[in-house]
Amino acid sequence: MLLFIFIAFLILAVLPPIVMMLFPAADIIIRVILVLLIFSTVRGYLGGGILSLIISGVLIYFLVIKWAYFTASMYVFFYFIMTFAITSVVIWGIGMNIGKRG
Amino acid sequence: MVQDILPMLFALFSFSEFFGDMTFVLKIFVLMTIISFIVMHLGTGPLAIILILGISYFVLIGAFWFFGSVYVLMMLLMFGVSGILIDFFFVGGMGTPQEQTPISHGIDLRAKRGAMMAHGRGSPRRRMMR
Repeated sequence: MLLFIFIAFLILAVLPPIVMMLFPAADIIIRVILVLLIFSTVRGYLGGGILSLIISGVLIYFLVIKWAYFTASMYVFFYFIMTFAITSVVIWGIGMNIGKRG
Repeated sequence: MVQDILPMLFALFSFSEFFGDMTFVLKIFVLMTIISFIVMHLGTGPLAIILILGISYFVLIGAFWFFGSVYVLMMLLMFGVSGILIDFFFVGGMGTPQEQTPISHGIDLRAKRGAMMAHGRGSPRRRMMR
């Protein structure tokens, strides 16, 4: 059971880089989404202004240009886990499994 | 020999580069949190700027080994990791079967009935009545 969960998480984390490598359009779309996400996050912290633009630029260079695959992987991973409450399902499954064995 | 070591060195260098970059990104996020907190409370006056500079120096350069970890922990708690841990350790996963619902399905019910009947058959009152 735990092995299957681990494999599912691994596939979920590895899938975005593979999709980005295979489909250039998906690569561009994911990068644009990441840029928008970073800019909106920084603007939420600092408001509109030149400092927001500078910090957004630095973050975009590191997260979207230099380590894009890692960032996309983490973004999709946490997006899925947080949005669809996958952890609740996993904990429920582990509880069922331990209950049967105990 | 050198040809065997070179890929390993490249991997190590790449990892250290990645780690350094992510630490830098984390520092930027901590800096943004500090600026946002101080500007929210004090506005953008000279006192706020002095405080931003002082606290940023202390947090980012002085003791980042501590505040970086605290920031990551704080972010995880804000994203609801505490709820997951509570679910796992207290509500769902780690409970023994006795602590779960009394009768969860038909098989449980049948087993409980069977146990009760077996207990009833062997009780002293029944033996006396025979």
